[in-house]
Amino acid sequence: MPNKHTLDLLAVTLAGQAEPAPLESELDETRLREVLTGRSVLAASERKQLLRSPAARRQLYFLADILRAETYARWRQAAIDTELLYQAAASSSVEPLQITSNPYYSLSLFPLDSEGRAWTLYLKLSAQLRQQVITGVRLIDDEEQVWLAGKPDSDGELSGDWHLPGSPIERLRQTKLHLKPL
Amino acid sequence: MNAAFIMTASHQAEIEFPIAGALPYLNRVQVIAYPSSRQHAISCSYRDRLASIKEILGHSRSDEDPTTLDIDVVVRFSDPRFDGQSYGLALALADKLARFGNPTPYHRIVATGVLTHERVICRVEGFAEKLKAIAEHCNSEALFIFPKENQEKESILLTELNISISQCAVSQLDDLCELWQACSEQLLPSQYWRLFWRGAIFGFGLVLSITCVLILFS
Repeated sequence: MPNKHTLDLLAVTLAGQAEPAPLESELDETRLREVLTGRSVLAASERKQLLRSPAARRQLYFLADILRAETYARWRQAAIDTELLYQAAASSSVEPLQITSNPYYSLSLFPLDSEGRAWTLYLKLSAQLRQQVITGVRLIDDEEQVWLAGKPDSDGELSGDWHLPGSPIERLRQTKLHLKPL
Repeated sequence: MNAAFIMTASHQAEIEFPIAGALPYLNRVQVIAYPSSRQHAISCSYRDRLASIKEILGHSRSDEDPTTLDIDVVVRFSDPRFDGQSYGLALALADKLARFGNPTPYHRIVATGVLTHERVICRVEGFAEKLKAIAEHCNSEALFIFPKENQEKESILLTELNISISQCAVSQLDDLCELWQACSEQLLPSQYWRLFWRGAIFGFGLVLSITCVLILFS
């Protein structure tokens, strides 16, 4: 995974890109949907076109926005609660923690060392929520910091290392978490 | 209602596995088990490898008692950028050792083998390069575990390996059960009660049968 500096550099480069001549044909929308929903992967030619053409990237972002809106609508219709709250007394011990206050998903935090400097997060979606996920999910806090993002596997599970500053347990005492479509 | 469970300590195990290539080296898989956390979770941050990890652990755990199956684990690699399935044996061993909590007598274990259905260990490709990695990076006492299928073809190379490295050729994961069973002999409390009730039900059934027979023939 490229580091943030590399990604920022790539973003700046792509932002200043002009449309190549001659103009390339639009990407196939059905193919893009398959890729965004995880049913397929981009072919080498499609990846090349996305790198070369700002219009192709706009087409992809637009479709991603549509799929995200579709997911929001599905979740509202199913009355899915997306908030996760943790309330507990402060503790100095470093131990795994499982939060199951939301019926649609649970979050576990596993310490990777005895000092609590490194953690891994494990998200498990309920069977009902799994059916309503189209592109993926992201778990964010009240400050819009992303704790976890990606497409859960067929078991509805998604893991990732803790990458924000400080302890996730301390953050949980000060903020709520929200699950949103990716 | 806020539902949050604080769970206790963890056990971890690390097993090395050789990587063939232009610069052979020893990679390491670490499994951290959380004995009081029981969601049947297999957590791994390397998402493109998760399906393979779950498949391997599905094979390796296929004969286990439910009491150990649902212990949560986190799987990590010192270097996640590698190809192939030859890490399967190392992963399976690290998983067993971490969950059964066995302090193995071996300070260092290096393993290579493709783990398949029914816990069979199949040959690996690039065995000669993998032996090179072990010869270059493993000078201390260690146990090297590898497939029997590779032993038959690479016996000469194996004899040239450092004498301080013990060798163990296997065809089944079960051949290595002594590595983790030393601790499992200390039964979990739930297993004690299961044995007790099985014994009690069997004893009662036996007494009832004998009584019925005596009544019938008296």
